Amino acid sequence: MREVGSFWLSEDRDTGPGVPPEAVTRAEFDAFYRAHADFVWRSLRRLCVREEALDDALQEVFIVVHRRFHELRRGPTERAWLFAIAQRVASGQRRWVRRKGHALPLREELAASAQSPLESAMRKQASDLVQEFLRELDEPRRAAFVASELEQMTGAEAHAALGVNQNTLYARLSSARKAFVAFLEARGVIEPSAKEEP
Amino acid sequence: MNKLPPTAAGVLEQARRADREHRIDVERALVALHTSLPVATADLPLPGQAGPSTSATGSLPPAGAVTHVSGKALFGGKAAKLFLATAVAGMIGGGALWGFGTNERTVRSGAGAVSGQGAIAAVPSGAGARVAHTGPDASAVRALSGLAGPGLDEVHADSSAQRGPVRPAALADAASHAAHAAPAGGAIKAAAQLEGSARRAPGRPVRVAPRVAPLLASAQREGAEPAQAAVSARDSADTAGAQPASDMAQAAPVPPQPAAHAVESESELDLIDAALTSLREGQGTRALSLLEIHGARYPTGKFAMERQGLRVLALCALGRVEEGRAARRAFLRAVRDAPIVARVRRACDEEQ
Repeated sequence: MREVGSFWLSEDRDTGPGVPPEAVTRAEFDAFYRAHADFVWRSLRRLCVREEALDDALQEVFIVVHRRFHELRRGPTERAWLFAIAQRVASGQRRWVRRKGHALPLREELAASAQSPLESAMRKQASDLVQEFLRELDEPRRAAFVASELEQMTGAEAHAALGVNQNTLYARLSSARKAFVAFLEARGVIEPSAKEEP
Repeated sequence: MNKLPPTAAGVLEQARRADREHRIDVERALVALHTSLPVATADLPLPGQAGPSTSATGSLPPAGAVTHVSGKALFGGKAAKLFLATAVAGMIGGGALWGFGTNERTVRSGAGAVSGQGAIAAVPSGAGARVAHTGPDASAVRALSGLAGPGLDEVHADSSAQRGPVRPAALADAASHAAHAAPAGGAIKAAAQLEGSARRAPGRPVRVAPRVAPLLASAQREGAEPAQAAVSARDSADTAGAQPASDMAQAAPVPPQPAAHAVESESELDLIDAALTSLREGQGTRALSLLEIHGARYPTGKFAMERQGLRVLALCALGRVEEGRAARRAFLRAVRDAPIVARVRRACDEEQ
């Protein structure tokens, strides 16, 4: 049994042949996929799944989702449930030595973007910066930071997604925030001598 | 708990916005996903189906066979407009059509008109449905046995490539028998009646054809009387229940057949999706035919890569290993990494 999302995802059920899922219509499953695929892809990326493995990881998450669809609790905790699965898949994916090459990525840039080139560059720079920070972070704090800060989950959602108690969650998040500030200082984004007070 | 300073929070907000500027090509991802879902995921009944009852587990009867394709659409309202051809085939002398490949039995069946006015079979092509006139009964038999003219090549082509014990003669017999069993001027039998009279276990699920079944079924020519048409269709194992030829006399009126424009209305994704569904249901031949149609209609379409990948899977599922491996090599040369690649890479190896 793993700590990550442990109250939902027991090791044996997630890796074994699994209990035959209850009937789920394809329409229902596809609708669920369409509603959440971007969130899962985003989460996987932020959980430091390698770029070339993202599509496979996304697929893997939803294969698990399909197998465990009967466990899904509809409502506000859907994302937490997905995040827990994504976290497990990400953990596995990071250990993989993946093949290289990428012909047809699933993601597509939005064709119509209202932002200026400068805005676009700033966002990309910020995104890359955050990604670099996340890569340096250990796994528990990374998950807490992604769920709470980037996905802006509520405390209850993050608690459910990570499968840890609130105190642990807050401790990890607090530590991750400090690390983020230190990271930005080291990169010159925040002047160490002129620290901003929150 | 500590909070982030404004600048750090600003960086995060910019990163969040950057994240939101990416979108997944969901439809492509779904095709890849459904390709990779385990075969056991026939637990995904399609909308409109009566639950998870589509497993192809029927056994072939010793004598006679009747197949049908019902007109039930699978994918909701849009496809509900499509009607599918109904086909009946009687087998003589204990003859049987049996399948090929791993778990597929494909039965091409037909019911010829006895009016002697000829049989008409419409077969979809890249440009839409094509109408092929054939001669009277003999031509109908010829068409149904896979020896028809060019109009039938597209749908029937894969028959000749099957490794299994395809028996054109038996097919011809079946068609001939069906033709003569039908009452003069009578209509092709409706699937519903056949279901009732089939030698099938009570409560046995009735197979529902995908919405693109019209692509694979020969539809009667527009304006032609039902009795003048020979409609051929193919079906899969679970509808290959025994059916005495005499049952065909209990014909029901032919439902309106799909017009060519209905075929043309199917989107690229519909075709790929239907091919995928067929593949997952063990109907490799049907999948191949759909992929061929897709290739003719959308040679450089958005799902061209998926078409090639699914073709590899279909060939391998049918046991056409050499062809499958050749197609796999070509595919993997062209596509190094994509969601479907992992599945294709294993094809023809795991099937053996």
